[in-house]
Amino acid sequence: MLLPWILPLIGWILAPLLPGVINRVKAGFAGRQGPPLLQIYYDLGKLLRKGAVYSRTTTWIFPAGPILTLAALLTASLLVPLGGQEAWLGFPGDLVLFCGLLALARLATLLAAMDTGSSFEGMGASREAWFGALAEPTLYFSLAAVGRYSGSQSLSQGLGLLSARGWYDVDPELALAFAALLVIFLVENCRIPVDDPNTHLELTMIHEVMVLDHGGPDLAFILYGSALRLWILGSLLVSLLLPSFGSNPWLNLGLGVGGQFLTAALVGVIESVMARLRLAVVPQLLVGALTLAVTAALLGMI
Amino acid sequence: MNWVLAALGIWLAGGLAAWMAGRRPGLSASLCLGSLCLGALCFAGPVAGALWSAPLEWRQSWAFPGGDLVLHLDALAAWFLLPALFLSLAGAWYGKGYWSGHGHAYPGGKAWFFYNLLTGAIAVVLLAGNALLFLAAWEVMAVASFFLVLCHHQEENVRRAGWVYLLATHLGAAPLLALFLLAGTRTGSLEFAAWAAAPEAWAGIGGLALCLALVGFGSKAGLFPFHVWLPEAHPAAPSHVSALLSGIMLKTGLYGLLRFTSLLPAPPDWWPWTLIALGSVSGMYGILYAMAQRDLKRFLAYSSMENIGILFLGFGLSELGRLHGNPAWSALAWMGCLWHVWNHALGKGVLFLSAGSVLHTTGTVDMERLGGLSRRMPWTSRTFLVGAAALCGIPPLNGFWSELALLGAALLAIVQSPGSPMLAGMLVLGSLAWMGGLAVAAFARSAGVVFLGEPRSESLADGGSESPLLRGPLILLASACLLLSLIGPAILNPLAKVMESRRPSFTTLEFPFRAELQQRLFFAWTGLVILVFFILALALLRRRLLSRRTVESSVTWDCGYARPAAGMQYTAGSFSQPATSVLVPVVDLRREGDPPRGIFPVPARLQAHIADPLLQRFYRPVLIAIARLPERLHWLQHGNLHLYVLYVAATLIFLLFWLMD
Repeated sequence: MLLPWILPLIGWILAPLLPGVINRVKAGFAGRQGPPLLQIYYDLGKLLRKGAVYSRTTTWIFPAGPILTLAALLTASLLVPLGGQEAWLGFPGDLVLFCGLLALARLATLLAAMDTGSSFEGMGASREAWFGALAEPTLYFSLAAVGRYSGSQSLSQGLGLLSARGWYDVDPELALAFAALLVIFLVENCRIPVDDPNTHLELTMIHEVMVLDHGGPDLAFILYGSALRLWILGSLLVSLLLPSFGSNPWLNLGLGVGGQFLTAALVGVIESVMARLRLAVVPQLLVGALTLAVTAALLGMI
Repeated sequence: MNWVLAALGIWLAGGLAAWMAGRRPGLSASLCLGSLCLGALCFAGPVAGALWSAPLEWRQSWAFPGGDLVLHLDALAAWFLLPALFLSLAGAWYGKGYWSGHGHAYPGGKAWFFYNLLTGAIAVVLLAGNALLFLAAWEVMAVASFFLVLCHHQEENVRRAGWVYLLATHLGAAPLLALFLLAGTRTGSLEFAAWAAAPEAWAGIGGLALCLALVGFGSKAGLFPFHVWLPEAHPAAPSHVSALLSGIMLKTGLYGLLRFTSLLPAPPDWWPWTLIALGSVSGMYGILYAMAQRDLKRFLAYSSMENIGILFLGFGLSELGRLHGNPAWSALAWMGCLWHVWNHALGKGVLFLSAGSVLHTTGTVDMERLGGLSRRMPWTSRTFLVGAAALCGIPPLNGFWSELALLGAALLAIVQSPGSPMLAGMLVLGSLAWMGGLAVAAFARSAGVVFLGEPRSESLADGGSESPLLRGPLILLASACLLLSLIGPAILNPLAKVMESRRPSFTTLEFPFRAELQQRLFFAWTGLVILVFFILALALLRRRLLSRRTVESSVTWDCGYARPAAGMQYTAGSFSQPATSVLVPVVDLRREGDPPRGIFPVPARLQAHIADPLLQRFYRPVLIAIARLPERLHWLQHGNLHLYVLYVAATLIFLLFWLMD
């Protein structure tokens, strides 16, 4: 009875560790020492204690953007299972709510960016809107493929049952769905090869340029939201990939959390070994992922 | 039913009185609004009765052959009537303010007459139980809306739009006439009830009848490829009329199709697939073109086309379920389709009215000239955002509920069904997901460019706020959207009544599935409540955190550039450029202008047009060719009276011999 409540709590507490892990892995590849693992917590603490500077162009939509985004992600975190553990809220068709919440987060960020009247932020919003639109069918199809595989319409049931059955009989649709979800994970979290969170040139940014004008608590919400998004979408990946062992839920939960950090490390490796794609190539990557997801769903027919 | 007749009478009388009082705009508008209010009150009882208890019928013999004059108010008609009544009222209230200012040419009392006539005709279309009455009301609806589209007929493009509209609406009515004649000759009656009672009469012509219905009703609904009139006519009409046309009149096409298919025995196999395919193409085409528009109202018109696509996807999926013996996903799709009728009516209503107040206040709906309006027009920007979020299908707004049902139906079909329904589910899922993603992009673009940032032209920077007269109906419609989002699951009971009114009714709506559905809606509602809770909690947290700190204001980060200007903002065209450039083969994008040349370039110019390729490459040449055909017979018409008399005499003699045979 305690577990469904603990699951989102763990996510809320541990999520800021994930960017820390990514940064450490990247630093390791580059031969640097890197920022402390807990850096995001320090940043959050600092930002929450700060004041803010607002552009005279902005309206109430500008501060509302981070609030809506974070609220949507917090709600979404209640919908995802992890480590064979059902989510706090799960019902048939809950993945529509899940995708809807991600869309709400996107819309809020886009509008807040356009509220500044900056051409850089408009540019970022345009790219984010277009890539997000291309990513949405892929997310639906890969989740539907998993649902078809496990015969369930809810994230908890679908991915939860899957973990129990595991990858013992290696099925191609799971591999395809995983590949598609991995691309979605990278796109939605604005990581390489789609977006580079460390870039310092406004022209090449996507997500970072949209939040240029935010500061203080607003930026803290955004920062925390990004970490939470890594956790939420990572939960999907981990649930898809990691089988659950035995009947001890705590062990499985621990494995799930461990899987999250492995995913973060994987992102760090990806970011270290490849460069960002040209913007014109990103739609090709997304359409490729869509093809994988559709194939995964079609294979379920057989 | 007497109340319904009274309401129709009141609307007609009110419309006529408003016409008479046309010299005094205020009085004329009040007469119209008053009669609409009174009529809606009269309708309240019968509509509630039809939704919660039994259908009503009124029957009167009349002189025309083929059946009685029948008005039939069942749950389905009531479901479509409710938003029609609400939107026409809100529109009239809005029009009262809209036409009172001096900036906008008041078209005279006749506009109010046609407005009332349109409302009445829509109601009769929904109520008609006799094909002849249906066609008559259909025609009145078309003509009344034609005159309303022509309200600002001084402008050349409005006249052109009106002409396209008149042509399209009559071309669309022709298949319906053929369909009703066919049905009438087969069954010997023009009453819908008689058609339903004689399933054997449809043997062999069911497919033909469905094709005729699809073309006739589909063209009214703005379904691809019969949509070309829609983006012309709706932006040309005054905004509250556009709201009624987009929000309600398009749906009469869907209603006609729903009504007609419920009269037929089981449809052939290709029927649901056709619906799904056309719905999918309409939706994707609509949202893609919406993304590319720079005229705010034209953008909304294309978005209506997208939503019609969504409705047809749901309808098609539920029809497929009818073929497969009414499985659960069919009921869910049917529910989503019906629910979306309301959500789109309200959402599109509030968006068109908001666009109207932008036009009213600034004099333009060209997105590239607008910007930063949220400070000048705070209420309009808020209502526009509510409508936009509703139509994006984003939680917690009402559009999400229909998305939940439709996408849930597609998922259920994918998860549970073997073979072809699964493919249909994938098609629906993919189309809806694509539309959802692009709708977010398109609405972020329009809301962002028009209401956020800095004014793009200097004349916009100062000037009054939106007229307080326009605020009321905007807030009314936006709050209706919010209310519908809040009470989502509660709507299941009347909705189930509407769903069961379909023939053959859904067996799966019985206990286990209905309980599951209730549970699903309740859990989704819980999610929305939690979302709202988080929003409020975070807003409070932010306020508390900032209350103890210094909050300053400055300029937007300009990358160190010394003189930022409003013209440097990202434009609507550049926002949609990634989408339009990838899809150039599909989108008919034409660029013209002089690019900057030389080391010291002189002022340069670039203009991009997006034209509907179907209109340019198909309809226009075909219609011109058809128009040329009669010219070949021009030699017959020479102006010599004695030869004309000879024609008459020859015809008479021919007929005489023919009849004597």
